Amino acid sequence: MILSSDLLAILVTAALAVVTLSPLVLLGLLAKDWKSGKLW
Amino acid sequence: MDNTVNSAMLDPATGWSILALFSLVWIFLGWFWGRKARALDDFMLAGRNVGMALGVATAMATWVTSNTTMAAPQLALQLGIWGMVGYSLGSVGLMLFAPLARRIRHLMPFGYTSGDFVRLRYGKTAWRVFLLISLFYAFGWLISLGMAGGVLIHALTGIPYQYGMTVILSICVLYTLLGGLRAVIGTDFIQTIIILLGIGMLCWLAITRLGFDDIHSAVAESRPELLNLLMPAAIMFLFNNLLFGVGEIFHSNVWWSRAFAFRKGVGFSAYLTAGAMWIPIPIVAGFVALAVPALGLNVPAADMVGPMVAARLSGALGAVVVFIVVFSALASSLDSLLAATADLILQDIYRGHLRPAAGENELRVAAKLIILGLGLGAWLLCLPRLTTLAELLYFTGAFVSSTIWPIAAGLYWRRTNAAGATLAMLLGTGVGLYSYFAIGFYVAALSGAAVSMLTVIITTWLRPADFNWQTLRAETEAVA
Repeated sequence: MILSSDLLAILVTAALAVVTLSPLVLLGLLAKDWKSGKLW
Repeated sequence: MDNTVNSAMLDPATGWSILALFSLVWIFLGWFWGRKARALDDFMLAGRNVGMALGVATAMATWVTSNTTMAAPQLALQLGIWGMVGYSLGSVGLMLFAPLARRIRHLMPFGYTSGDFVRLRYGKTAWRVFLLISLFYAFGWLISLGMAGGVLIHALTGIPYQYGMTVILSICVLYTLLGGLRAVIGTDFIQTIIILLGIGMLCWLAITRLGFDDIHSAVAESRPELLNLLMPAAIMFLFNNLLFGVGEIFHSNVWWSRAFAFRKGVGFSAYLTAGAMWIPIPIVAGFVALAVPALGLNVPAADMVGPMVAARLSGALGAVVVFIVVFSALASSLDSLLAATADLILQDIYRGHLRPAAGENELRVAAKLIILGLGLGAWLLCLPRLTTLAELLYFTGAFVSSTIWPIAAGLYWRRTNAAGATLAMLLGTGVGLYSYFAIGFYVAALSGAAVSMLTVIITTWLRPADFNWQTLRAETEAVA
């Protein structure tokens, strides 16, 4: 049972999308914590 | 055309410049964040008030080691699609630890280490067995990271192994010494961003330069087994890796110290989010290796496949990106391990066994000396570059998986007893080690965890204890 090119593309694209968005999520959380004085 | 890339991908001068730049940044930040840390709690546990953003980032960065960035592509090349997916299941440990982190903070708001919990929950015998396992694992990981640092810096830049290893260890020791856990967590945030952007960029380059169809058809033609969804060894690896990861996280003080350091209410969400955001990292890093057949590369050492593909795709820029990502991944794990292992030695060996009456000032000095001693010890052990020492970490799968049930059951079941937990750790480790040598590395964690689970369940059923949860809070509060 061989993984098709389409499925490989979907898997990797989805993973890449999360990896690309993660820094934005982290920076957003940082800004939120900073504003509320809950950074550390 | 010779497609083998044997030589270093960057010249040593560029390597030294990048090392110097990042080292200065980490040391300055370590000093800056640590300059106001007066109390022991500030130094060891960052004041116990770490928020969500830094909490998520530090969990992610610590779990992305040089193994993730280098071994994920290697596994993709050896075990194919399941190698990538199997590695990403390492995130399950982070997500399963989320409820435990909440429980730990609730039961022991003033706790310091995982050893504190085992001592108070199961007594001194279980505590000592646990400490042996935990310290063995910590040293195995520390040495493997130190050696990986030297080897990778040499492979990527040509800088001699001893110099590279010395630099990476010294930098991490220095900024951890200056800033304690606050420095570790602060730098982890920046390192996480660097790692995510770096591996994302390399994956994007592979897709845009080669395309999914070309990569897929080249793999299907030359290495079709890598796309096989029913590869038995890879499926076995998947489950073993999952349990190894769970065992590493459940017992290690690296993760417990964060549970104590996070602000109340943050632990659960931080570990869950970090786990979810960690899932795609090995897939993205591993996919790069599938470009090898399309690029026609000959790979002399499987663990160098990531840097080789990066250098082929984007020349010097790709090599620089890989070097920075690897350096960040190494530092983010090394600093965490140094800080958490120093905490464990300070609290459970120094204060627990040698100087129970030590005051705060003495402990602060001892904490710094222990970090220094750990760095020096790791440096001495890494210096001869004995590969057998680097392989030490592989053995620890049997050890750490045997702690999963004693820890989890100890946190939730008041009927789990001390003798059962001790026996579970000893039997699980023994059977796991036997499986490692008799069958193979891919079953050590699996069998260790299974035996440990059976032992905990049977002994809990046969001789139920009646543990009072208040003991944990009262005892740790009194010490704090």
